[in-house]
Formats: sequence, C-alpha cells, structure tokens
Amino acid sequence: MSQITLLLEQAHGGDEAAWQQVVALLYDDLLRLARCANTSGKANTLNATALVHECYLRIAGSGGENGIGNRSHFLALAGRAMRQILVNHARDRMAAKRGGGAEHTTLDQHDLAADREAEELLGVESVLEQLGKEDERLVRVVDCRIFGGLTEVETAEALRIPLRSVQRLWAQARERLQNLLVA
Amino acid sequence: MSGLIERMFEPGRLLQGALVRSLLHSAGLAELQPGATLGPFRIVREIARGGMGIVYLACRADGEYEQDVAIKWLPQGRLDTAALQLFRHERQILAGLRHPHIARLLDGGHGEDGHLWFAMEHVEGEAVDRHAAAHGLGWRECVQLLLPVVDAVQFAHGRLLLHRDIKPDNVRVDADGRAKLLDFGIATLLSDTDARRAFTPGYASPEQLAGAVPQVASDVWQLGRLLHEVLAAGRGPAPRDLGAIVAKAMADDPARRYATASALQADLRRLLAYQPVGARPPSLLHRAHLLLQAYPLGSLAAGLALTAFFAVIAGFMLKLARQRDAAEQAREVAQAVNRFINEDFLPGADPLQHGSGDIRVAELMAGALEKVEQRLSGMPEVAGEIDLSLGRSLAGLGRYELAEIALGRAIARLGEARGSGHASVLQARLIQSQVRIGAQNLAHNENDLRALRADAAASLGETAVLVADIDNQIARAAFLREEFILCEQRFLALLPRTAQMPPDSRADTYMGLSLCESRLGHFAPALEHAQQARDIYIAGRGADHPFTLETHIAIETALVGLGRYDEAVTLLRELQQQLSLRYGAHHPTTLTVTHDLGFALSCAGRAEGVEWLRLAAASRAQIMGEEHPWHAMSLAVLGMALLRQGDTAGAAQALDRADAILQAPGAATPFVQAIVLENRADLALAQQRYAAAIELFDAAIAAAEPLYAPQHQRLTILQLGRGLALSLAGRTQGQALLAAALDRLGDSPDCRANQIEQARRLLAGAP
Repeated sequence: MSQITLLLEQAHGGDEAAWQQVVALLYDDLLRLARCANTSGKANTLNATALVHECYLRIAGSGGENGIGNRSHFLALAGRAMRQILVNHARDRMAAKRGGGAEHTTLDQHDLAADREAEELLGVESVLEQLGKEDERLVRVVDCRIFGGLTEVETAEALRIPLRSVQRLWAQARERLQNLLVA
Repeated sequence: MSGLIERMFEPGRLLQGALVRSLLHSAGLAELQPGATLGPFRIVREIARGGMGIVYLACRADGEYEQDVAIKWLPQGRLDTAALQLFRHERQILAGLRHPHIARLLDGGHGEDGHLWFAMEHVEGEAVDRHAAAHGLGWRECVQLLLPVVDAVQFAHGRLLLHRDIKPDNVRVDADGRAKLLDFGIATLLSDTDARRAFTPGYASPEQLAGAVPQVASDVWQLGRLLHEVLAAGRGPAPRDLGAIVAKAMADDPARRYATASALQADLRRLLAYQPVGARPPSLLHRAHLLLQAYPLGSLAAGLALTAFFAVIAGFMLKLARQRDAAEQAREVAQAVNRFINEDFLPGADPLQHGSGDIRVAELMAGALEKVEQRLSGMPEVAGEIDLSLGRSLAGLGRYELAEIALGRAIARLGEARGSGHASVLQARLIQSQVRIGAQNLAHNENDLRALRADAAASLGETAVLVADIDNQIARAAFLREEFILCEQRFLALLPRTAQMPPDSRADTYMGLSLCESRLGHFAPALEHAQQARDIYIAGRGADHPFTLETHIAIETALVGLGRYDEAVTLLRELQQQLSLRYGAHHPTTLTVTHDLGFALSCAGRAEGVEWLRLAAASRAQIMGEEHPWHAMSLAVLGMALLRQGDTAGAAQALDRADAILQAPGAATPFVQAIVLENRADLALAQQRYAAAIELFDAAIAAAEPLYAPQHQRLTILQLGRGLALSLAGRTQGQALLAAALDRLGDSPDCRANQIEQARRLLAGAP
C-alpha cells in the first residue's frame, strides 16, 4: 500500500494527523493540476470534477497495482482536501489583509474579488461547521458534491450511504447554504 | 461575475473564481527578501502583492546612477528557448516605448529559479480611482486626467503594442497630478497561453473572457471600463454624452466600439469642448443644451461654437475652429493651458448669472490675456500657446483688436521658442490673417496670406495640411472680395489636391467652391459640391453639426438657383426652425436662412414670403445695424416680394431705404448694389416709368457684369428686363433683345417668371 492510501485509510478512520498529511500531500498535486488546467489555453477548463479525478489517476497510477484501491473513497477525501486548501488560503488572505498595514495596498481588482470570495468561503465554512454538529454526513455530502465535483451516484458510492439519503442530505445542505446568499 | 456561493451550485464552476486564481499564483512563488539582487537592482521592500505576483520597490545596485524602480515578480515558470527569444524581443520593443504617460519598462529577466521579473519606472502615487475619490474630482477633471492615458494607449497601438490589462490599479497619479499607465505590455510578455488569460476579472472585455486573442478593441473596451470606474469614484454625476462614450467604448460587439483609441480620444475632446459627440448623435434639444453650456461658460469652446457662425454673417465661414482642431499642441503645454483655463480663467465665469454671454466671455478673455503676462512670463512657450488659444477664441467672438494683440504675442513668443517655421507660429499667422478678413482689412490680407503660404511651404512642405488650409483661405479671400470668378478658379485649382487633404479641409474646398459657383450661376455643380461637403461633415461630425448645417445653406442656395423652389422652401423651413431653436430667431445665421426662405417663397409665388423678408430685414437692422449691407439686401428683396404682390408703394419704400444705406460711404458691396438696382428697375417698369427703368437696367447691368460670367442667367434676366422696358417704351430694339434673352433662357426657371411670361406675350403680339 502506498503512503497515501495508508494515510487515507487512517484519515477515514478519524485520525486528524493523518488527514493533515493527506491534505499536505494532495496540496501540491491538486495545485499543479489546477495550474495546468488553468493555463492550458482552453477557457474555463478548471473544474473540481476533472481536477479531482485527474489527481486520483496520478496517485493511483504512481502507486501501480498497489495504489489506491478504493477510487470513490479517494474522491470523497480529495473533495474534502480541496475545501481545506481553499479555506486555508482564504484564511491566509484575510490574515494578510488585516495584518498587512497600509503598505500592503491591494494590487488590483482581482485581489478585491479574491478577498470577497475568501469572505464568502469562510461564511460557507462556518455554516458547514454548524451543519457538522447537526449531522456529519451533511458536510461529507457537500465535500463530495461541491468541492469534489462528484455526482449524486458517485457521492453515494464514496460515502457508502444510499443514494436517496445523499439526495435528501444534499437538498438539506444546499438549502442551508443558499440561505447564505439571501442573508 | 457571480459570487463564490452562487457558483458553488453550478457544476464545474467553483474553481473559476478569483480566490482559486490567487491561490494558484501565490502558491509556489518564492518571496524576495530585502537586499536580494535581480540584475542590476537591489530589493528594498515589498510594495504590494496580488493575482499577478508580488511588486517590490528596488533601486539600482550597480552604482551607475540612482534610480528607484518597481519590480514585478511573477509566478510564471521557466520558458523554453523559443519563448525566451520572443520574450527578449518583446522586452526590447517595450523598453523603447517612451511616452510621458507610460511608466517605462527598464529591464527584465529570470530569477535563479526561473521566475520572470520586470523592472519598470517607479511611479509614486495612488491608483487613479482612489485619486479621483480622494480629491472629489468632477467628471471634467476625470476626463482631463485620463485623456493623456488614452493618448498613451493610442501611442502604443501605433507601435503595434497592446496593453491588455488596463484598469484603475494600473493607472497611477504622480505627485504632479499626472496619470501614468503601468505594466504596459506585461501581459504580452507572458507566454501566449498565459497572456490570453492575463487579465483581471471585471476588467476583461467580453472577447477576452471568451478566450479570444486580445485586439485593439479589447484595449478600447478596457479604456471605457477605466473611465467608468474613475467617474464612479469621482464626485457628482457625469453628463449623458459621457455615459454614451463609455457605453460605446464598452460595446459587447468589438465592431461597435471606437475603432481606435484616438477616436475615443477625439470624442472625449469634443465632450470637453461641449460639442456633440459621435457616440451620441445629438437631438436638437440636446444640441441647444450643449450650446447653452458652451456659450456663456466662456470656455474656449465658446469660440468654437461661434466661429463658424460668425463667418456665415460675412457670407462665408472663417473656420477658426478648424484650425484649432488641427493645431498641434505639445501635450504638456496643452495641459498647462488647461490648468490655466480651469484655475485662472473659468472660475471667474458664472454661466447662468449673466445673460449676455458673449460680452462676458470676451471680458473674461481680455482679463485672461493680462493674466498670461503676469503668471506665465517665465514660460514663453506655454504663454505663447495660451495667447494662441485666446487669440483664436477672441477672433471667434468678433473681438478683433484683442485677438490681434493675443496673436501678435503668440507669434512673437512661439517664434522665439520654436522658430518662425514652426507649425504653431504659421498657424497663428493664418488665424491673424483670418482676423483681418473678419475685421474687413481685406486689402492687406492677400499679401499676408501669400507670404504665409511661402513660409509654410518652405517649413512644412507643399503637401502639408496647413498649406492646403492657407490655399483655401486665399481662395476664400477672393470670395469675400466678391471676386467670384477668381474664387471659383482658385477653388477649382484646389480640387485635384482634395484627395490628399484631411476631410475637414476637403469639405472646406467643396463648400467654398459651391458658394462661388452659386454666385456665378453655376448651380448644378454648386449643388453637387455642397452635397459633397455635406456628406463629409455628416460622416465626420454628425448631421446636426454647425458645419453640416452650413452646407444645407449652400445646398438651398443652389436649389433656389436651379429654380427648384419647393425643395428649397422645404429645406429652408426645416433649417429656419433648427437654427431658431438652437441660436434664437435673431442670430445672424438664422436670419440668413430667414431671408432665403422669404426669397424662395416669393419666387414660388407665395405671399407668405413677404412676412419672412420683413422679419429678416428688421432683425438684420437690429442685430447688424441699420447701415449693414445685408440689411439693404433684405430690404431690396422685400421690395421685390412686395412688387410681386402688387404693392408698389411698399416696394418703393423698401427700395428707397435700401438705396439710402448703399449711398453711405464705404458701405456698398457690388453684389448688393446690383441687386438693389435690379429691383429698382423692376419697380420702375411696374410703375410704367420706362425711361427710368431703362436707365436703371443699364446701371444694374453695369454693376452686375463684373460679378457674373458672360452667360450667367442673372445677366440674361437683366437683359430681358431691359428689353421689356425698351419694348414698352416703344423702342424697336426691344423686341430683338427679348427674343435673344428668351432664347438663352430656354426652359430654365427663374424667380422673375412673371417678366419672362410678359416677354413671351409681348413677342407673341398679345397685350
């Protein structure tokens, strides 16, 4: 078993340290893939589904036959990793903005947009925290559907729960998140 | 662009936002520490960071000379050999891009780990939108601030360089209040696929968003967006015209935008001058509103608006405004002029408090003339430019003496600073000669013009636009002296050169030619040339522009000449209404049209003509003075119209008054003289005073012969009148004269249809 598969198993079992390592390992890969997709010249090719699947193929491929055995399992975790990466970056941005002082004038409009999105994402994150307290599965579904770009069927597979439950949880989570938009 | 939360629910769009892009760029970009060196530069500190990378303040570290630079440190990785070559080549071109409003690229290269970096002129200052907000800039100031930026973009486009990422943060305002464009072509330096996406969300044109290769149109779009942002940050509302300019620059379809940055620039300039802009074809009401703003405000624009119309009073335009457009002013100088006008000159004007705008304007300008002395004595070149502008405007306002002073000083100052062959000096001399025409110092004028032409041709070459403009002016001088044959010859000689002229000068030639042809009775070509001028102006300045309206006057004149009275009346009614709305019923130009409408109606046999002619005569007396020859002209034509109505007493009275005006020393012009004589002869004929009529016709023919070509219909009609008088007086040679005249006339219509009819009946033996 490759290191990542092991870590994934441990993380799935609730090992927080293992989870952080998975994120660190996936981080570079996800970013590299994302950057490739982003600069490949084709407009709007960067999407979570392709990214996460591609990432899986690379890791699975590098591990050969002994790579990640459970693809859907990996995809679920990759979505979660993706969220973690984005949230970390959003927090860094906000911290830099608060601590940066007057010298750090923002460079451009792009930055303003990124700052706005960072705030939005942190809003999403706090809703997810709240959802997690009510039902951990709500957050897992969001990770798969939104940050992993998985379909409902893939999500059900990855989380090993019935499709109808996924649909119900997804509807519930989506409603809570969409309330953010109205607020 | 939708927010992150909205995008979350759209499959595959989560990662397309600014946050992810910022993540991708920041990740893996090693930071530079103060003291690190890149090429000849040493990093001082970080200034900013963002989606495109990190910006550091650095200074030259090689001891060559002191220089602060901004270094842009980009997260792009290594380039292959071909890309590197392209990069170096582009960098070389960009380093050569020198414009006072472009922060220059000084150097660039690769860091040890392959990251790209660029060093550029460091502009200390805030982003232009923040500047606009902090200083509460009004729309006018915003436009003035950004005009040089538009110019800078045009300058670069002329060298086949695109900016691709124009936005408020890339335009910094330095300590002197000058806007400078940063990052020129940086986007171009990135590899092709990167460059295609090297834009800022919210500042990318629709086609850039769609992934197309950026074009000039993309930069135009971004300039529009820039304007929009800066105006939004500034103070107060912008005029609708400005909104239209922004909308045109930002049209979704690139083909519907301004084709070039300079077209955008031209519209912005027109807006500042309160002229109609191409982006928004003006309605009459709007045009009137513009004029209301322009006229009393006393900006130099007032001169622009009035100039053409002053000229029509004299029978032809002086087109001082034209020269203003064409004047090549050094950019800094122009800015100093603007500042002078805005700070020293305009604050004294309170547009709405003072009814008689032009007087107020002229006083202000006279005051400004003194201030030039006081304020700018240490800057002869700037002072010279201002003198030139003031001279031009004062001339437009009819303040010839003050204009002479200003222009004299401009010629002296600019001549000393730039040499007597410089275009601005020659320009000032051309306006000076126009002023003298305006002041009716016609005798010396042509010699001045010829000397000016020789100097201009020597300094600028035979093909220079200014030389063509001077030639137009020389031809026009013949028109003003009422030497129409010479005038026509001169304009005809200019025709082959029109292909090389800019549109306005070309239209000038066509208009001048048309007017002279009309006066010579060559109405068919006159109509054609006036229509050519009209088409040029409509294309370049819009259907409602004063110059376009002038061409309608020429067209109407030709139509009357061709006997197409109904068409002429339709056109004249429209014009009369337009001009009354715009300039008031008593404006000299409106009165020209009022007069012509009365004439055309009378020729068409409609009694209504009398009323228009009465109005024209009374108003001309009031506006131009009782003694003005054009007053006499209206009286003479009124006499003709009254006679047509059978009111011989009224006609006699009007003609006596016209006569009295022409008896005054120095007042007569041969053209008006001939018309008064002809109408007096007609009156005598109608009163059956045949001996007097014969005498008057002889005098009228003598006055008219030098004015018209031998076959001119006017002369034929006079011969016909003389024939009638002779026949009715019982002289035998009368019949032969009538037959010859009728033969020459053929089917050509004429205003004196009643006399033609009478001649036919006489010849046929009828009573």
